[in-house]
Formats: sequence, C-alpha cells, structure tokens
Amino acid sequence: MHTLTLTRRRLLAGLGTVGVASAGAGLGTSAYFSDEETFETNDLTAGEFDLQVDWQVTYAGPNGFEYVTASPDNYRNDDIDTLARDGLFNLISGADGVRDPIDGRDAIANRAFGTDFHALTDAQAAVVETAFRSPFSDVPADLAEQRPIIDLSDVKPGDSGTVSFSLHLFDNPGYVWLNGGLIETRENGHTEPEAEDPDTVGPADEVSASLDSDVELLDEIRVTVWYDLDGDAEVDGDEPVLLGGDADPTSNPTLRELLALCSTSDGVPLDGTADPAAGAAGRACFANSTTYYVGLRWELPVDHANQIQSDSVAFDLGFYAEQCRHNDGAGTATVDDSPDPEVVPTDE
Amino acid sequence: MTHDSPLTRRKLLAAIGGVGLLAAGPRVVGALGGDPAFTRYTYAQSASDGPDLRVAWYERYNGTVLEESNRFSAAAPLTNSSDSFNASGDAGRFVDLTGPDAVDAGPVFSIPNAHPGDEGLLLIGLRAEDADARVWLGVDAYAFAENSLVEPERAANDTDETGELQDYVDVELWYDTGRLGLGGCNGRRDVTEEAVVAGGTLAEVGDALAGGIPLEFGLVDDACIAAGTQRCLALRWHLDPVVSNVVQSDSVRLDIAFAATACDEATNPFGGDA
Repeated sequence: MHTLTLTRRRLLAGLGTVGVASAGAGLGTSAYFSDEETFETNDLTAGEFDLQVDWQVTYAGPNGFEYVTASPDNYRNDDIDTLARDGLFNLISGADGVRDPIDGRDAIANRAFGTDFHALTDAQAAVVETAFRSPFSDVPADLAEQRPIIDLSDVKPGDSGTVSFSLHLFDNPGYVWLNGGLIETRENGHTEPEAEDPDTVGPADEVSASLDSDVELLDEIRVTVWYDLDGDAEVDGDEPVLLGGDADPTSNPTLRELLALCSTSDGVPLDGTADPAAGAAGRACFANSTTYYVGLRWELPVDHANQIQSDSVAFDLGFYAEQCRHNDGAGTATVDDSPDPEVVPTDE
Repeated sequence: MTHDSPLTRRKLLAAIGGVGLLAAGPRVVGALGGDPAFTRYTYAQSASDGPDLRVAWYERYNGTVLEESNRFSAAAPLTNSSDSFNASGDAGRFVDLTGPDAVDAGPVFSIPNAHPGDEGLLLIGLRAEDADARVWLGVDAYAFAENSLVEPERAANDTDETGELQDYVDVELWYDTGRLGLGGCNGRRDVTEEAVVAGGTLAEVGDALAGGIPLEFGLVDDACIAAGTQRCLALRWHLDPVVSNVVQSDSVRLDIAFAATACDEATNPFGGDA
C-alpha cells in the first residue's frame, strides 16, 4: 500500500518550485528578490580644544619700569601696541622684550588676499588661520628653553613686576583656571643681617619643594591677579581685580597663598566676562578664537625684610582649560559623580 | 561605501523560490478553505515581487532631534514612540534609500565637533512593505582618520597617523521593540526587555557586524517582520567623559545597511555567517 503523504513541509517545497517558474517567466534574471537600504557615510568627528598663550613680562627694579621678555617678540616695537619701522617703513627684526601686536584674522586676510576673513575660500581661510595661530605658544611644549618666564635674581624691597598672559582658546569654548605651584624654594644660607632678623626662621640650608617651607620670601612677595583688559601688563584703574589689588601691598595675598590656591584642585577659576565674583561653577566660559588677558603683579613691599636676603623661589604658573560642553566649570574634582576620576579633554 | 548586494545567480534562485512560495500561498489557503488573513500575500505577486524594505528614522544628538525622515513627506516629525512609527508606516511615509523611488537622505548623522560626554541616538524603523521579510544588518566602520595632531594630542603621546576615535566611541544597538507592543521605538533600552544586537566600541561593533547578521525581531523561529508592519532598531553612541585627548580632531565613518530577504533565506546577503 502506498499512501501519498504530503506533509506541510513537502507541500511548501513543491509550491516553491512552481514559484520559481512563474517568477522567472515574468521578470527574467535581472530581478533581485532582496532589498537593501543603506545609511551611508555617517560621520563622527571629535572636536579640537587647544589653549595657547603669549605674554609680556615687566619689571620695576633698579632701572625703573622696563619690559623684560615677551612672546611673540620677533620685531622691535615703538610701544606695546605698535611695531617700529625703519626709514623705508619696513619692520625691524629682533627681540626687544616688548610683545609684538597680534594681527587679527581680518588683518592677515586683507594683507594676503585683499579681503576680509569671512569672504575667503576654505583653502585661503586655512592659510590665514595657520598664520594667525603661528605667533602663539603651546606651553611648555614650545618653551623647553625659555621656562620659567619669571626669572628674577637680586630682588630688593620696593621691586615689583608683572606678567600679562594673553590666552587663546582654539576651536571650542572652555573654562579656564590659573594654576601652578611651587617648584623649589631655598634659604641659600643666612646672611649676617638675615640671621639677626627676628623674623628669620628655619634652617639656613633649607631647600624645599613644599609650601610648608620656612623660606620667608614666599611670605614677603605680595601678589595681585587681575584681568588685564587692554593687555598692557599694567594694573589700570578700570580693570577687574581677582586677588589682591590693594593700595597697601602688605594687604595683598602672599606668593605662598597664591601658589597654594593655584595648586589646589584645578587652580584659580577665571571668568570669561572678567567678573571677579563669578566663582567656579556656572561662570562664563572663555570663547574660542578670542583673546583674553590675565595679569599677575608681584611686589616686595618696603618694610623690614632682611629675613629674605638671599632667599630664592622658583614657581610655575600656567593655565588649565576644560571644554565648556557637558561641564559647569566647577572643576574635575567636584563634578565627578562616578567612582573613577573624571578626565575631560583639557589643555595646559 | 556602498554594500552592493552580493547576490549570485544561485542565491537569486533561492530568493525566487521564496517569493514563489509566498505567491502560491493564497492558492493553497484557498484550496484548503483557510484563513483569509493570508490574502496579504497576494501583494507579493505585484509590483516589486519581493521583500520591499522601507525605512524611517530620527536622529538625536545631545537630546536634540537633528534629523528625521518624515520631512520627505512633509508630515509631522517622528517622535520617540511606536505609535509615531506605526502611524507613519501605515500612512506610507517610510522611504526607500535605494532604488528608483529612493530619497536622498544623505548621511543621517554627521557630527562635526563631538565632545567627550556627547551622545547620540539613531532610531531606525524597518517596514516590510509587501511581503514578510527577514532583515539583515551590516555595519561598516571605516575611514579612521587622525586629521590634525594638535598639541594636546601630542602631549598625550599620540604620534601616529591613525585616528583613535573609533576605540573611544561606545555603541549599542538593540531591538527597540518594547514589551508586548508597548514602549517600543522610544530610544531607551530596558535591559530586562530588549535584546542587544551588538555593543562595544565603534571599532568592535564594526568588526562584529561587517559580515552582516540576521535580525531577530520576534521570538525564536519567528524572526521576520510581517508584511505591512514595522519594527524599530536603535543605535546609541556615546563618547565617554573619561577619554584621553588623543581623540581630538579624529574622525570615523559609519555605514549602516539593511538587506531584506525572504523569511526562509539562509544565505547572508552581506557574505558573513547566516
């Protein structure tokens, strides 16, 4: 007995064959019974975030007020806003300790292509952008030879000096902190007047990298941190002061206090609108491609100060920047809500 | 990069067989006095004669919708709900990206300035238009570019010419089907309800999915998307706040391809394992 059993499985197979015949007849071999949808060339590009600086250092010491070093400083200046020119109206090469004025993108674009920056082609704009950024320095990468930029010896009571940093954030806005810390401080022996001074404490041969050091110079140098709006490295009356700024220099924070602030957490938060009361969280970001000036003024007040004779101090000052997006400026130490330390792209 | 459908003649015949099966279905059913619900299969005999896959999508970047596909039909934008996708699908607003009726979508996401902490979502609706379809997914991550080497990258010891971003972008792909028809297409993954298709860094996901995989939207043995219905697949990417400066200015490209075949097709259209 041979029973015809057609299971569902076989039935389907058989019908499948029928289907091939009919479909083939209707459509030939060019038909693909498959369909494809492709989301193509989706693109994800990470942003850039680069902080660059230039600066002007001044010193009011035995020779009165003078410009000491600066960057960029490739040409002679008439003053801090103007480059000097010779009789043929050419620029005069050579460093003179005065920061060369920075040309804006429009100035470079007009000189090179005779038009404003926004009217350039992409290729021209790239050339101008490179030229615009070329005067600025990535510190310390570009400055292995020149650090530290504040390098003073033989400082006497009554001396003072400033450094005005010019900050350039590129590509994206960010929060900026003034940071730094003590590198080393030395007692360098006790001179006779130093040894007799009742304020002298600590061993004569003390060498320390700690802010707990007894070296007295750290307490006698007084500092002012201010927003140097015009970039002239001088504390002008209309410029907001972040730290210090008192007429009586002995009321200002000491260098020890400043270095402690700078080396704690991310440092001293700076505000994009130069508001000294802005604090850290929620303060204004520094816009990218915009120049900001921040100044540090130091002075050694005239009072009994033999306790500092021959003392020395070396310190770092720098800037730390974090992206603005997804950030409130409170600093990495406080926004962290995960077990791991949070590191956002930063630049110093 | 385009994934040309690598269908050989052999595969073609297999595919035709599948379609023939579908075309014959109503006759079988009719002969057996069966279920009129199967009449939808008759569509397979007309027009394109095969799986017709259409797509819809919306893209979110840091919480903002940047791109969505209802713009092609000037309809109200898609939202993050299965109702929105179902309504759009039923109204014929899902689109073709390839073929004669294709819309020019361009890249569905193009992020020029990603920051650590950024996240994005691409929610893709897949609709089997005329016949049940098995959908295969192929992902290709490529063009890992360093672009410029800015100072913070060099300071982080990035010196080579190959970008690193693909190793820092986390990607998760999951079946955004919700549960019992609720909560699908919402761009959120409930770990207890929705299965992951692939996860890991962008480079890892690209490696895992380059050869294509079949998508299993339903239960086991019921992987197909039924004709006239749609399912959602979600892709979330995230650039962790804890990344190194080495990714600065790096870029990656990503193709996301879907191939629809007959439900019983066992050959992977992307050439990988079935």
